Amino acid sequence: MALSKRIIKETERLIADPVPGIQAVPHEDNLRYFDVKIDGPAGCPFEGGKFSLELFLPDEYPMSPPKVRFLTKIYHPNIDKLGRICLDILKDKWSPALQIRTVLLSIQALLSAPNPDDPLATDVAKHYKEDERDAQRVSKEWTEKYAK
Amino acid sequence: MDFLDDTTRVDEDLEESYNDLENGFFAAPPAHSTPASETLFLPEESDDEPLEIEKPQPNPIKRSSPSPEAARPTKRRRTDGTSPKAVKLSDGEPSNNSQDYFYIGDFLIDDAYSLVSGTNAIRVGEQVSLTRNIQGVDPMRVKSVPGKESKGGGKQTTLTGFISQPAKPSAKASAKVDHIVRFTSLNGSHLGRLPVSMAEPVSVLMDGLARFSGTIVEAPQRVRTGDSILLSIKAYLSSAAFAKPDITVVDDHNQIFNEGSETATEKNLRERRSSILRLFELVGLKARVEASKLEVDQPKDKKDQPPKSKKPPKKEIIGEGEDAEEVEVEDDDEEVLQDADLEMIYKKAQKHDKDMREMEPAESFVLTLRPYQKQALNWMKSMEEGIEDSRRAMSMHPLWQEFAFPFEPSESGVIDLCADERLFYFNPYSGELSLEFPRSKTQARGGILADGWYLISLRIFTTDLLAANQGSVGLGKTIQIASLIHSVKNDVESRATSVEVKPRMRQLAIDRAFKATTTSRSRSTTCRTTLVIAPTSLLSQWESELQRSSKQGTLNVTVWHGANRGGLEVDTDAIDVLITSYGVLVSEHARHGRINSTYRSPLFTTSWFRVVIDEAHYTKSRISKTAKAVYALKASRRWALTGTPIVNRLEDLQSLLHFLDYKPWSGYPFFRSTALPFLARDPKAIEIVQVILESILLRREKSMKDKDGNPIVTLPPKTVTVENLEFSPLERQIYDQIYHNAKSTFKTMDARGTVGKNWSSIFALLMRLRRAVLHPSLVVSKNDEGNADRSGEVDVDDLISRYMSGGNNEASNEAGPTFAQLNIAALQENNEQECPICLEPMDPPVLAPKCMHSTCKDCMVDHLHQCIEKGEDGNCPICRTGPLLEHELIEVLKTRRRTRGSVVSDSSPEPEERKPTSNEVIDVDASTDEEPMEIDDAIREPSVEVTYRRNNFQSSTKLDALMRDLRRLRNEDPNIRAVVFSQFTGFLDLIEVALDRDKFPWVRLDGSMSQKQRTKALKLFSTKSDKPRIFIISLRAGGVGLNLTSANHVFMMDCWWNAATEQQAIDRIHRLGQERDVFVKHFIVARTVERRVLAIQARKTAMVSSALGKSDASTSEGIKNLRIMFGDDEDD
Repeated sequence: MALSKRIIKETERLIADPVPGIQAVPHEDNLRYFDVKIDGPAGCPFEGGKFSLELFLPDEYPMSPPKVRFLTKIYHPNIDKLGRICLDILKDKWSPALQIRTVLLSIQALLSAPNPDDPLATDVAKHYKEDERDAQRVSKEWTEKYAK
Repeated sequence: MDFLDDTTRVDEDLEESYNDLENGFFAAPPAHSTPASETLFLPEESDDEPLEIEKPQPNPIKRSSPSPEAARPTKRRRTDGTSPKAVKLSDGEPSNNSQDYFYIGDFLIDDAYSLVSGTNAIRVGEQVSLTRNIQGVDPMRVKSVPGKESKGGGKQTTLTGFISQPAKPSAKASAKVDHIVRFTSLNGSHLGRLPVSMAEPVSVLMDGLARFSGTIVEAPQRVRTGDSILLSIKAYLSSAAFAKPDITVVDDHNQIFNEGSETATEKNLRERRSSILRLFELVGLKARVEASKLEVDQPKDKKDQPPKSKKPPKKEIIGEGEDAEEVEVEDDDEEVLQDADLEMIYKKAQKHDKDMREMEPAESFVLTLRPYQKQALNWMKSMEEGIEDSRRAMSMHPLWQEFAFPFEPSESGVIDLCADERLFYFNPYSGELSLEFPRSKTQARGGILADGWYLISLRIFTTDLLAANQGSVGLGKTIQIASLIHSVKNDVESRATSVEVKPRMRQLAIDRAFKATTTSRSRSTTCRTTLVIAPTSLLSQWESELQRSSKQGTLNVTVWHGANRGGLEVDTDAIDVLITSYGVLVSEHARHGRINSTYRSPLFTTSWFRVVIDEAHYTKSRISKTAKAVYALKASRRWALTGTPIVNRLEDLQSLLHFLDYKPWSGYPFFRSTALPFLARDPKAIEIVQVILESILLRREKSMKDKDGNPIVTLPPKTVTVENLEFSPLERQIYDQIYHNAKSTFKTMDARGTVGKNWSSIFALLMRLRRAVLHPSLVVSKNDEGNADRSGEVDVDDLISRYMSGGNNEASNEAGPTFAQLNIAALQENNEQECPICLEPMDPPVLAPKCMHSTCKDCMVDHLHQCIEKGEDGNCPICRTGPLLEHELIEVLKTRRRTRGSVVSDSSPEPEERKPTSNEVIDVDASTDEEPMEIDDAIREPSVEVTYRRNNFQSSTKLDALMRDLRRLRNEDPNIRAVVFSQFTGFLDLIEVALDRDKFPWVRLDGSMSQKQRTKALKLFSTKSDKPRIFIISLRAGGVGLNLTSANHVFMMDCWWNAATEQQAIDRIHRLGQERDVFVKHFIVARTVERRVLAIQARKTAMVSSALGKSDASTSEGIKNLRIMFGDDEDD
């Protein structure tokens, strides 16, 4: 089937031509399951952190989006305690033309551009809205604490 | 067997029959002694009337008074007796009548019972005669003899008192009364009756066939009513029995009888037959000689056999070893043996076929015949001339047995047979008796040539169906007949040498016809012309084949066809072969037969030398106009060519036999007498059919082997694959919807038991399902089934229209210029682009019209479906420009064009023709003419021709699969020839469109096309060219006679109920002349009705035949099949 071929192809390309600051390695026993590491982008409270995520490609992929979750605790208005991510392309804005690579890039971009208006972790979002600097401080602390 | 049934019934209701009888007796007038007078009785209810006594007169007495019980006579009137129901009641004395009686033996009846009582009422050694009531006449119409009446009267009265009730006028009662046989003393007193088990055969025989006299062997001295009496009975066959039974009476008006109903005559014959058989069994008469079944095969290979001299055979047949075992067959063993050698007969016939002599065709025949064709020629020749063959004339008719009259032990003066053993002959199949030696004679000079006869048809009746793929078509029947025409010419012709025959005008106009040559002599006497009657579509094939096979100028072939065919006067010395169609034949017959018309059609006034009817199953219905016209032809030699001698009922064969004048089976009633048991799966009857067939039918199959064990024909191998396809989700949804509607309809009917009455509507449901498998649009117009509850169900029509949403939304074609151009330019390149979705090369690419992004078609369509499922508008997967509808997509069609001198392995099918007019094809090519070639400009790749078209054609799973295969084949072989079969012309229409879109040139053949159009299509298809050609054919129209050997790929888009039809279609391609390997592909969609159709095929029962057939057995079979169709278990 062409679509599982696609997974193989994507994986090959991710390994052959990795995105700077992003690392995605499939499990040996399940090629649909990836261990992902994303470097916190420069110029944001998450800089210097190395965040672990898990990524799973459902059967319908690429017709439905991959499931992605942070394993590292992170203080971010769009990421909740369980690591779930609020990102449109992972939900209704998914398009089969997107790939693992683009998804992870989007997540990386999300780190540097939190969007408290569309929150998932409401308390964090509130914090960010009321006192962004203090919130960023917490984020930085968490990064130091959990993502090193 | 009726016989037994009757017996049992009589047994059970013995009392009632008593009742009837006694009523009758008591109704008789007390004294009435005028012999030979017509007497009329009215039943009286007086119950003190003594026992009625049969009159002992030696003279025959006429009894023909109408019965008071009106129901009786009409029920079972016999037609074989002399007309006014005259029966001789003669006892032991010889009759003074002209009838002779032949002693054939005696037998004991140990359980006759008395109806009298008293000491010495029945004396041992007393002579008795057997009497019975005349058919349809009230039992008491016998004269009572005064003075004898009181005998045993008291007893009788008592009995009567108990049971005497009004006779039941039911048919049952009348049937019972039928067979009562009494025995009376010589002085006329009624002594007792035969047991019911004996009564029927004896009573039937007494109706003009035989006479019995008896002797009391043992009886109690003091006899009481109901006591057993031991009787010894002598049986005499009357000479009338040896006359030919009147079996042809109804033949002339046979249209008044429904096919399938047993006529009175027929029934009569059957009873007669079983009675005679029973009698022979009783008297222990055994056949001395039974004609060998093999005799029948003889005509085929008689040249190889030593002459069998068979005087009216005194002994067993001396023949080949195979015969011996069949000789001493006794009646009892008959069944077993014959049953067992059914298969053997068949094998024998085929074995002989292998050894058949070959015969070289005449010199004027230019083609080379294959060995089996030469054999066929030899066979046909001997069949035509067979009647002159002395050996055959002397051999006994295959169905007859020879018997010898036994000598009568006592010379009671009955019949003194001459001292010599006298022989007589009996046909156990028909019940005919004869004193004459029944010669095996084939009135038919000719036969049936059944190349590739589909065994399946016959076997349907035996429930033991052979795999249908035995048959084959196209072993060259036409050529064989042509060789016969050349090789066996009329004697008339031989004096006029063939040289003198000059080519004539094709069409003989009427004026020309009245030249001096047309003498009345040539019309009334046998001419030398062979008349060929063929379906219209095959006329030209016949003509060209005949021409092709003959040396120039040796065969004058004339086609007589068309509305302006003009009058035909056969100049019998000029035309060798006259070809005409069934249509012409029928209309000529109608004109010819018109009462107030003086027109005599030459077709029917001429005695043709030979008549050949091609596709002879056209005449299968004996009451059709075609069949009647064919019967009316006069010819000395007759041939029927057909692939299916029996299409679906045995009567089909009868019609052929009628045409061939193959007696006695050419008569319908007689044929039915064998057909009936055949339907009842009587092995004997099957055997008869086999014997008939083997004697006049030459069957050739591709799979048959010659004497060296090589196949008679070697054809290239054929590979059949079945591809299982999966529906797309939407198709599945549509299909399931229709299926469940149909299923619930069926379930309702099945529960109510009304399936049988609703065949046609169920059939419609099934057809609808089968169309839905092919393409959803095929069912869109026919959504006529009213299904009440569709609450919460998705509306089928809605789904379909969604599926088909080919509405003309004008796509605003404002493409983003830069990207679009780039993208198009990229497409223009030869190297294939990767689809952003599946990361594979796009196949085929589609463009989103607004943003000009491209992906694979499948990926794009998948994505759009996904969007719809989420309840969103479709959009471009790359830039989300929307809304994007499926039919707006622009497909990019790449075909490779050959450029100068480049490698050619996959060259283009045809130069591009552009039709920018319609919406279909948008030509964007011009915008980017310069090719952004990359570095290696040196290599000149074949340039790519790109066409763009709207994706507004909704394909379907099957169609996609077909096109995918065809594209692949085209890549491998640019001038591929393939044949696509479907039974739905609507689907053919869709295939056409799909082929057009992929630029496959195609031709089509379906039932609506005229003869000319068909010929043209065939010609076009077989013409060699370097373009691919696809022939799309309606399964039903393409089943006959076509020769499509230029193709070697076959696609079966749907499955037919019975595999034979499919097989026949495939054999259009896989037949003589095919030189390449043949590939056949069936497309089946999983989890649909198609799987179940296959299951039914596998059950080897053609649903159609049972669904349309009337018999109960097949109906229940049909319902079973339907249950398969609508069963719950998914089979895959």
